[in-house]
Amino acid sequence: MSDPAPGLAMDARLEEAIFGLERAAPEMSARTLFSRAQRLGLIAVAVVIGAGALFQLRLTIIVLLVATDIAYLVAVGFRVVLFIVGLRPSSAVIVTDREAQAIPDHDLPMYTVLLPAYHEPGIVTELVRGVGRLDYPADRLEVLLLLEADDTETIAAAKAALDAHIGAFALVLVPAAEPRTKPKACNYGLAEARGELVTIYDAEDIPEPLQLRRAVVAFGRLGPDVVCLQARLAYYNDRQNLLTKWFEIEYLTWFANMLPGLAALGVPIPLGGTSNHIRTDALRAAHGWDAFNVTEDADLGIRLARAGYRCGVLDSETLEEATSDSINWTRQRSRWTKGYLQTAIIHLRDPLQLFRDLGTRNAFSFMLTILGAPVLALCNPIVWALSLSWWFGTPTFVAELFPAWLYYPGVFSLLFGNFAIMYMGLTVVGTRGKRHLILPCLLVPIYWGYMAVGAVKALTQLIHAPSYWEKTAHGLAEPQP
Amino acid sequence: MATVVVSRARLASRIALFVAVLAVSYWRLLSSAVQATSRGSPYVAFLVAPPAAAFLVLWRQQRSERELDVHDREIDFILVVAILALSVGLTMLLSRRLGTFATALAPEVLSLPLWTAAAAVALFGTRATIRHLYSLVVLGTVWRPPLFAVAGLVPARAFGWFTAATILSVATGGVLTRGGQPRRAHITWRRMLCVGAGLVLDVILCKLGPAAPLAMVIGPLTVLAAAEVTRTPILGIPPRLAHPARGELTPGVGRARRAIAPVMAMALAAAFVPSLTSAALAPEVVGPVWKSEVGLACPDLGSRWQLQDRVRIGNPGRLGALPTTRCRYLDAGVPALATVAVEVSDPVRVEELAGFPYEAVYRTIGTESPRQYTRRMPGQWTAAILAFADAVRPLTTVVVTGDLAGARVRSGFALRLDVVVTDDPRPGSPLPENAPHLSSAIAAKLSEVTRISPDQARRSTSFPKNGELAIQIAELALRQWRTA
Repeated sequence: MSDPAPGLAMDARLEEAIFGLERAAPEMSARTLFSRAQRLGLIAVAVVIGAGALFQLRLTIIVLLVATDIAYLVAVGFRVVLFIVGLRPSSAVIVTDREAQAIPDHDLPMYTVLLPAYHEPGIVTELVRGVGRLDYPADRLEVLLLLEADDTETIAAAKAALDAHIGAFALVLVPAAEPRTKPKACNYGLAEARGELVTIYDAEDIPEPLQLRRAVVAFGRLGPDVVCLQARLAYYNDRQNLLTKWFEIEYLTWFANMLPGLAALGVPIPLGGTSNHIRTDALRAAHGWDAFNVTEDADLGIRLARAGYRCGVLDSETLEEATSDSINWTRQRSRWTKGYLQTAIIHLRDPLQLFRDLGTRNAFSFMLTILGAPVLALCNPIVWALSLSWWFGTPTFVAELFPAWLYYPGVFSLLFGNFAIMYMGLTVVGTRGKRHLILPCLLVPIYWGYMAVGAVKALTQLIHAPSYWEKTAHGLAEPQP
Repeated sequence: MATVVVSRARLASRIALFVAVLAVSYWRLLSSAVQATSRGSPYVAFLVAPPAAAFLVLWRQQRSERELDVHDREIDFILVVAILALSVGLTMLLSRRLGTFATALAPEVLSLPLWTAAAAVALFGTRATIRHLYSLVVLGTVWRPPLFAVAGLVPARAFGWFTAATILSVATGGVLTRGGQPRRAHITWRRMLCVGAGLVLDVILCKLGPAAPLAMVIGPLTVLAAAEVTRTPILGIPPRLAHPARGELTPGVGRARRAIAPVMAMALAAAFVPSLTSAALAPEVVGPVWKSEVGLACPDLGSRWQLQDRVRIGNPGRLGALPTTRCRYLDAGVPALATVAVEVSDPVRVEELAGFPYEAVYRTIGTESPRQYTRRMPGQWTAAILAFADAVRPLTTVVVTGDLAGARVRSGFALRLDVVVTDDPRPGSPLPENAPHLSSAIAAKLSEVTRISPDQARRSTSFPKNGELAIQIAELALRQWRTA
């Protein structure tokens, strides 16, 4: 990744926003992806697999298939546990409207809302309007609209939108510099944040008006070791097409079931990219977000856990726009998958230290959520290809790769795992009363195909452009009934 | 996000490359299509699909203003690899697994639209290919097994069932993907209505076509071809209705629109030019429903069944020394694409034949013994499957009908066997080196026994695929004749 654009003097604040984490904790920064030890380890693994393939091809593939099968079974088992735990009402922090509104304004802490946007002139007005609906006293609310200094279109649109909302809003221009990532802009904004609590909303977000008040109550209830609360994300255009319906099912499962399950188990939570409410002092102590990580939110969740903090899930909803376009969706998904891989690689630079910091149980949870998800998404096309080739042609080589002791667990994994995931989706959809998502739930294997494409793209990009931010186009939502 | 303007020369070269790539990749299919056309196969009706797909491409060249200007070559190439793998897998793995029935299911034909999609994604990008999804669907109609499966199982009502099933699936798909947004719902229903109307029109043409003036002259299958041509623009309408607000015309659209006329002319020519559609009048291959009767004379089956030909088939055992005749009747009232269901012998009866080495025949179907085969496959299912196999594959295989007049029959049933002869057996086939000689010998014998003209018999002996079954059956047939 190149340094800031030539010709621009990099001020100290910008430099801190970009390189702050790297200076303070270089082992946590994604600026350099693989450590020397990791590179050597990968080479060693490649050599072993290559040698195995050369001399004992069948055995080597069987060993890899065994590892894959075990990973599938463990991942599905873990998801089932999360599902069961996540169904408990106590897994997310519930703050009633009355409780949220009961706090006197003068008791509310100063709150900073960061609104990073880049090339979003079309929806910045909606963003300002949506955040403007937050039920929080203006004198205790600081809204920083973070725009890149050379993004003239969005700046013009933002100025026009802010004319109607003078007060809490402030426009912060982030000097043009690489990397063009959201975390860099957020770090830049964090430097001037005055709030005790800070949160982020994306350009297309519509947060629930009482969300900030609920977060304040929840923080007070949970104690000082809980430094972050993740609000639930959902989509306002989920009915637009089949892709948005699948996306909504995935979000519902993740934010309404899996994350509460993780929180209830007390294991690290990979934060979502928006609507995470964080204590500012803890965030600063963690050196903010990693400007070079494309899922800086998930990474932050893990770093907070390693620092001994806890995160919770807040039962409050922020509506977002689900991308309704397949290519746009795949690009977005590839960024997420790449970011998870980045995060996994960074935190596994010193696995022993990771286990010491998190504890064994939490470290395994980290492996399953952060490393397992993208790796299994990458394995999916391979096992699908093997399955299809078996159904198509029953080739001998596939039969030789699956002795009975491997075949039956594989079949169990295929049948039970896929059924379990669909069942979980159906249950969550049912409990949320979203009947229009029931049929898409049954078609969700097609969605897994999309995910596989995103995962392969992520892997290729991880090699040649690890910190490249695949921008997701917004403003495609059709008006909802 | 920036719009990339492709120069005309570059676009033209890409299109030329695209066509060349397809032609080279599917030269075998293409050559078999040409053979089928020259032989007069009714499958030519389905050759309307490629020009129809091309027509739709031109029709839909306009970019909708709602189309997002986001493109990604990484995604393109990932999809290309995945689709190509699927396409190659279908051709190589599925063909091998299907064995004998690969001829019927024609997975390599199924792979054509997939391969075309891959080539289009590689050359023009995913978004352009998605824009032309309708064209790929139309191209996919080259692969007919779903249609013929119904045709084989429900003789004479094939199109009704097919249409009902298709409308149902379109409706289901529409309901599944229907959004709650009113305008989207409106579009979806309009689209489904158009597709349904096209299919209903198909049925009407199929039902009324044979009764139309000149129908018996040009052939009912020509009417089906006309239905195909009719359906093309109907399938093209929904996207236009669905997106009434049009985007900007891309350069060259004017010319592309003018190109619609020659493409339509091409499609119509493929459907109506007599030299191409003579197959519709060639009932030996595929045609309307046929019924055979074996006996001393040709009974009157009523006005619906018209006697088409009679063949003296000799002495079938129980009937003593009296000469026996097989009479073939055409059901003039109903067009259908399955033909041989009523002519295939029941396997239970086959078992009763003395001296006939039926085990070999069964083995080629993939079972171990005739008894096992009989249990698994009741007679009517065998008939349906063979009818299906016969019907779906006239593109590359012509079935020559011969009567094994010399077979020694214990229980008195005449055995009729469809003989498929090949010059191009697959590796591992029992008689690869003798195949050309054998097929010539069989052609001669067929001509002698069945009174098919020698030319016709010879023309029917060169077919590209599925040599194993063909040679085994041919070998059996030849052995029987020699024994006799």
